[in-house]
Amino acid sequence: MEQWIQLFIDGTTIGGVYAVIALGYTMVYGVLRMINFAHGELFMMGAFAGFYTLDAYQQHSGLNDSLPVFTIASAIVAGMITAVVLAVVMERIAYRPLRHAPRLAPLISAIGVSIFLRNVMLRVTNAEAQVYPRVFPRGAIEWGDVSVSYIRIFLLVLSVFFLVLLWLFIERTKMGMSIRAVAEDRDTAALMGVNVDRTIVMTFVVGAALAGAAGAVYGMFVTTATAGMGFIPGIKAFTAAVLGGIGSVPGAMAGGYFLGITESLSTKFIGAQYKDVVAFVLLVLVLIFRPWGIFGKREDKRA
Amino acid sequence: MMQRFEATRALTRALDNANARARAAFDAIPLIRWILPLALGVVGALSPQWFDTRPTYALMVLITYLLLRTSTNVFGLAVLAAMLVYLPMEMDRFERGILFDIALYTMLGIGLNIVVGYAGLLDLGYVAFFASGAYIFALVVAPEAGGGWDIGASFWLMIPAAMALAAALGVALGLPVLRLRGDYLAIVTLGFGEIIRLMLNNRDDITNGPRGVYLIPKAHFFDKELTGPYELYFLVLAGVFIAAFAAERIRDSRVGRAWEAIREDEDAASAMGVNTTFYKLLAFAIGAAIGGGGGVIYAAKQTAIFPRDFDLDVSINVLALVIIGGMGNVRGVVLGAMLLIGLPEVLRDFSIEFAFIDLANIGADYRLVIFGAALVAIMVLRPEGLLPSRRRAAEFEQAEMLESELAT
Repeated sequence: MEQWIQLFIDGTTIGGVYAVIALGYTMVYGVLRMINFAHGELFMMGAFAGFYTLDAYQQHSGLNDSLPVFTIASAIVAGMITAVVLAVVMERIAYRPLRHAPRLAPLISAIGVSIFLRNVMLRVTNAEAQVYPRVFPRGAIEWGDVSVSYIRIFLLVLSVFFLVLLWLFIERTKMGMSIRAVAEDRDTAALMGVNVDRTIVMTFVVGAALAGAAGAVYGMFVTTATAGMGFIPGIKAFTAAVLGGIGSVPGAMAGGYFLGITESLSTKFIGAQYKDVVAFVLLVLVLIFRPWGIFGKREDKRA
Repeated sequence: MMQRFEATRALTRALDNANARARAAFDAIPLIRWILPLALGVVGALSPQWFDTRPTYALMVLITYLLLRTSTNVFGLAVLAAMLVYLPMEMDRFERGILFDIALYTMLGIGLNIVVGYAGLLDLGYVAFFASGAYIFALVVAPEAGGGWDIGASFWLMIPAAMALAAALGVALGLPVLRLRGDYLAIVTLGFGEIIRLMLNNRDDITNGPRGVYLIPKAHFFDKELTGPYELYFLVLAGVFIAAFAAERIRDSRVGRAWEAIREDEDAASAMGVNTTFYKLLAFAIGAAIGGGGGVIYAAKQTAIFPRDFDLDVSINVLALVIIGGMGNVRGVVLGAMLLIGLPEVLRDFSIEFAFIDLANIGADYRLVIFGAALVAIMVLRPEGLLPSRRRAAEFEQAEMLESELAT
């Protein structure tokens, strides 16, 4: 039983990260019907922004507070700002001119952006992994055989916080309503007076902010940042978005947690080296049998 | 509120204008298409301080020039053939390696083009077939010490065998995804490609896992041992010509027309009596067979293969070169392979040392940064690819006209 709880908690932690990244994929897909292949790189850039912020603190004023709340918060905000600026620029340069192009053109352009960002960071870091300064106190909450480290608890709480925030944004604000309208039917939304361009940019901004924050926190969790770190979480988050029914915001959240927990359980019962296989098999099975997602509603008119 | 957006709006307009002007310049002046490559070729061939890989560069530019001419005449083809045979003799080992890669990726591009360009099925897991061809060959011929099964079969026998097995794999992977369209198909195929790679990595009992398969014996052509990229280059070249010839012939046949119908509107094609299941599986099978054949040659050249050689990057590179070159067109695939596979390698030796500017390593250090930016630039300027098939270009123009009519 305790083992189950442990696996469940571990899965929920990483699942929360997947869920937060998955939202960016699913929202962009919702409004543009495009897979933003560079989204994982926004996550990576967020992790680097977080690293450079913490590094600057360490060199100038030190990180010796017992719980450096302000330091951690500023690293996360730096991650968010970096990712947002990059997302706005990439939307403007690489995606907007291609909005009416053949469907494959934006895909290749997104791949180009992803290669560009990854290699810029490879140059900047000289292909070396950057080690995060330790900001979190070591230690864990023990409960019988279950042990949950403080950073895991922080990760769990923060992902839930972001998901609730996004939920409120989508459902309760006017901009959220525009995003839903554009996702539903771009032309009709435009006729109703929604500024489509601004809404699309806003979608990228929100998705990137979440990815950047997730990157910074994930960096603190794994304590390194590398130029290639965006790939696997990116693909996994994308899988999560598909599991929940791509285009659906609550679906992406549920899909993230579902994937995280499934992975965590599979490391125990199938073997850790099959963790990624399990994720992809799940992806393929869902797409073949329930293309509208495990949690999504069936929509017959899906091209 | 409105005034705040004035500045951004003006900037947006300026950017759009610049974009349109650049696009018009590329299209309007045919001289750009061949004077520029030729001039670059002369400069590159004569300035050793810019490029050390001059023969490769000269060859790339020459082929580009011949491709970009709208009509290929006999003289042009003869020059091309002579250069393809003569230039490698002048090259060193590194340059021959680049040439081999260009030819190999051209072959893979022709295969994927059948699936994506002709039948319109977006496949992001093409590496699965390349990997299966390479692994089937390697496992059968490699000795047990190299992680193989030591069954011992001839290289020449294994090419058709591996192609047939890859085709069977293509059908097996194609069957469950027949119902899926567009992006969903892309994602499932991406998943398949990754699953194949991870299985190669994890099932060490069968594939020797991450240690890979090595000591793959050399292939022989009669008594001559096919050792390095130079000898095998001619084999790939033959493969490219056979695949290109077959692809063009199939495109113009009944099968090709059925693919075109499916690509344009699957429901309409089905209503007209096209057996969509059969023709879609056929496209997967033929594309997979070409990929499998490429895999065998790759394994023979490498003499050691590892699961990590077959990651998502291969699929993405092949897809990108097909799209950059212009879908549905073999000439486009050749151009795409030269740009995407050749250019990053040639860029390695590119440096700028002029007066007080010293960027000696700009090519080696920033080639992939430049490559990523170039992908974006080409797509933004020419979303239909550099050399789209004539029909594709016409379709694209029509769609744009419709779009502008709707907008007004």
